[in-house]
Amino acid sequence: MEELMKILNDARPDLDFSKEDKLIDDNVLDSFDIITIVGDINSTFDININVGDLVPENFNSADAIWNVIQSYLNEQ
Amino acid sequence: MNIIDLIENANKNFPDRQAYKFHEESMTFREVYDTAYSVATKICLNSQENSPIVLILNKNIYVPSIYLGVALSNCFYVALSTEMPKSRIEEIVEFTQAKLIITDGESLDMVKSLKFKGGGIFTIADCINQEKDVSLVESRRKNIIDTNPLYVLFTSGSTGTPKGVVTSHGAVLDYVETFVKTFQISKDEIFGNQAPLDYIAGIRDIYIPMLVGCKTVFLQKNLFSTPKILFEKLNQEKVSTICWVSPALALCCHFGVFDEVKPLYLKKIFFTGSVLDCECLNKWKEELPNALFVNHYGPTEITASCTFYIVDNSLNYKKIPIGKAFANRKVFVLDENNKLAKENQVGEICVTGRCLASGYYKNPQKTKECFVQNPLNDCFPELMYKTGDLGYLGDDGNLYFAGRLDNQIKYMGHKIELGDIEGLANSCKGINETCCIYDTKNSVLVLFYSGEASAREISIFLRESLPSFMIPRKFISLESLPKLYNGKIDRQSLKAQLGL
Repeated sequence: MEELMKILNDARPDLDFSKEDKLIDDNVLDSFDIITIVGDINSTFDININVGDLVPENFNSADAIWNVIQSYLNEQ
Repeated sequence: MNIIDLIENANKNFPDRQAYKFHEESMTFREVYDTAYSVATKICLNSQENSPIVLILNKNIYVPSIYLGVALSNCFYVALSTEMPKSRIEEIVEFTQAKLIITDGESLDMVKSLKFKGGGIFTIADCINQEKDVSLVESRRKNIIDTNPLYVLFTSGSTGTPKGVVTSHGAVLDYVETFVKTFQISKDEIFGNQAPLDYIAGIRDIYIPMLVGCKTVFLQKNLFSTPKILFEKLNQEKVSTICWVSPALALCCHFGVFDEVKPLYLKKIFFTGSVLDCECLNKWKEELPNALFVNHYGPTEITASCTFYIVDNSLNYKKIPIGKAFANRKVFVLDENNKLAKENQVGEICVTGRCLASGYYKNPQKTKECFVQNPLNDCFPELMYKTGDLGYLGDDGNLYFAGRLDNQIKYMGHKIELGDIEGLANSCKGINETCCIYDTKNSVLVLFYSGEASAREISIFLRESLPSFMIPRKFISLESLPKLYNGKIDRQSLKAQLGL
């Protein structure tokens, strides 16, 4: 989780990710952010997030993103 | 002919066809035409002729009617993004001396809090519910000439005088007509709009339907964060044509969306805004072997695009040409002595024709620098626009893009002057020096800096004045920045640090 928080805070140091829960629904993150964040997650965790998982409910909060990463790591 | 004739003809020839769709709302050409008269009445009652009307609107089904309403009242629109920082909006409103702002319910509170001396603020609802006064509107409409501005578009840039590109009815009409003819756009086409409507690329999606009777579906912005849902939407709306910035196409490859959903109806794909990665183009070609792929090139100042290149689906490209000039404009390369460059010789790309913007709003000096007498013509006045882009004419007769004369980059279709970001970042407390680099491999803006400021402080500081696409997403703190012998920051060595 720490690594994820670092990625998120690097991309958007202006946000408090522990509080946000509508990152996509409320357009808090835009596609510029998503590209950066997904790219960093893929290289940090050595996974390849499938486009099918790029849905609002998976990216609305740090916890939700963490769950997605976990599900990839568990599959490996 | 002016833009109003377009919608009038549409209303005559295919009034009941759907023109625009956004979410579940749609409008026919008749509805667009009627609504434009209501909007125009509101504007005529509240502003002088030939004056700027500032629009601060999110994507909305009524946007085309608002644009036309402004034009009908013989005024011009200054469309500003709702995402633009408040201070920049205030600066532009002040600069244009606009007396009237039209906004939507969502942005009303923000607009009301602006420092705005003009006074008139109306919402979309105020405008479309206005009782029509046709004779009042007609008294303005008869004064429109096609060299009058249709809009002023402010390009990015955070420092100094705002740069507003003034574009006439005639220039937009010329572009729309030429585009439709060149690519045989028919009434059965369905456009899927990606670009924000306050951005130059939006003019195709807005004005082409009026000419041919086809439809544009506006795609909301957050679809581009979720490519799978985006493709499903394209299928659901049977989108046949897209004019997207290259990064939007790249995004779809990047996330491998084709493995999940295939666009079933896409036939024509136009890309523009920046260089498209060949690997990405190949992927699209592979998935849609029968589609037409067209590369486009052109800055805002020549109205959307001035050259195009139709991709040969059987070729594998190392570099995609920007192609040849559209009909009715000349595009050529000049060397540093203002002579026509030889084949394969890099020079500045220059453009002449009716497509040229009229100049920069209230900025005669900048206008004089960029809109000049064509040096190849010493017989009569002929205006030429110097793009500041480098290019060359290849052996195959096609033009190729070769970078910028200055430190400008194109990111997600937006022109960005890296110096603008650095200039502002340098004024942030706790920063000694900065250097902004575009990491082309990862499509990320990176800010190198020295000083005790934290990334968080810099990011928040920049967000006060810059739009989202100009905010670096990576901040790298160094003891001090590497220098060249002349004391200038060594950009190359910083690029090398990023593996570029």
